[in-house]
Amino acid sequence: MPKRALSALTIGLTIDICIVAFTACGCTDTCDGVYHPIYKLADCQKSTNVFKKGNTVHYEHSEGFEFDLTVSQDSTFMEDWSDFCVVAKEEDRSVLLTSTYPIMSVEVNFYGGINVSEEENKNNLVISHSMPMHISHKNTGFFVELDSAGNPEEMGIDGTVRLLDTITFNGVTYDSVFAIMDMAHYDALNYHKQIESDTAFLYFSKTAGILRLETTDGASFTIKERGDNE
Amino acid sequence: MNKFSTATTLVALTLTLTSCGMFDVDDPYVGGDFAKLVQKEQEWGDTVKVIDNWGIEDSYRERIYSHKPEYFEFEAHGFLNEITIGVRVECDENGGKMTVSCLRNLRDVNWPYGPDIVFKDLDGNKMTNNDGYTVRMLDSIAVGKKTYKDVLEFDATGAEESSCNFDKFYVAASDGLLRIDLQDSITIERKP
Repeated sequence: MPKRALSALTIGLTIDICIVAFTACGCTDTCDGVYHPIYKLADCQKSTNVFKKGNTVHYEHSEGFEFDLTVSQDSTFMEDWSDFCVVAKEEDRSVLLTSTYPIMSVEVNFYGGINVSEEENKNNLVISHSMPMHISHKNTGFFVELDSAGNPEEMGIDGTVRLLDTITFNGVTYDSVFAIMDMAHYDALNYHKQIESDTAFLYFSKTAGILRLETTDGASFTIKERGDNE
Repeated sequence: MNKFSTATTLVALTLTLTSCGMFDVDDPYVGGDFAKLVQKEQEWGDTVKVIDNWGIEDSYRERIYSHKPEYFEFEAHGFLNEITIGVRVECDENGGKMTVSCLRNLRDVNWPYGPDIVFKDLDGNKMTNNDGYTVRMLDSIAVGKKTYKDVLEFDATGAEESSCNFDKFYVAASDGLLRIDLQDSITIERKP
């Protein structure tokens, strides 16, 4: 699982520690001055109502069929990882949305980014406040930082995370919807590269969840609320 | 020198032929009708289009490798449906072993296959293992208007705790994926 949750602040802090203990840190087999953060999930990552177990949303697929996605798994667990003078414990939450048929799934992962390590707090080290969310379906992934209210933050490269005042899908209008660019194309923009696939967007709102998900091979599915849609 | 050359050639030939089923009964081989899976030298991959009885279309990326007469390997991955099928046949002194794998844990991308489903000492045309899974060799089946020969049927419906997200699949030794049955009433078939 990619460690994209490691925030810029944490990386910078790690480098600072390693500079202090340069002779051993990251350049040889041992590492003095190892950093031991404990990253916890923020409240907004733990309590996203749209991803409650059992919640079901109906979608229309670009291939012409309709299906339901149900939150079938929701688990929170601690992960241990180490990387370049950092030995960390991280609280993660993993949510799985599945459909009965066709057999499809969407993974939603939240990575703990609130450093609660007393050891580091005592040393007045910079505290990380990262609240990332990662959503993936087939070969397409979307990564975004959340603010304390649980909304995606418009940060990074312009236009890659956009707040839309309103948008209509299948006859229903939603407000406060974020359009999030897929990770592969975000990275391509960041590194000034070109990749041969369609740019995909995830349309997400804190209150309605996944409204539309596009994949880089051109497919998509869009929320279709039952009832008077037209 | 002549006799020496002849003897050397015979020894070399003996060693060469000491692979599956070509020398004597103690050599590794694939038993029963399952030997039909290892009758050909082939290595290829393609994308096969399928359609189910709801009218939903999908494609499967498949790959076959077989080395006569000792090894057969098949893999297929659905694009729309998250279905993965793996079959491997290996010869041994007791008729060989077949290993079938199917997707269980949708989330673990490092290990896309579930636990191995193993059939040992292949013999006859039908085997059921201790967990209740069954494999059977069919002379042929018809899919659409076409008939395919030497077809392997895998059936998970008899397993008490199936690790597969489908009920059955049918794979032809030379043609690849033919059909998948799932959820009692859904049939996914190769498009003509």
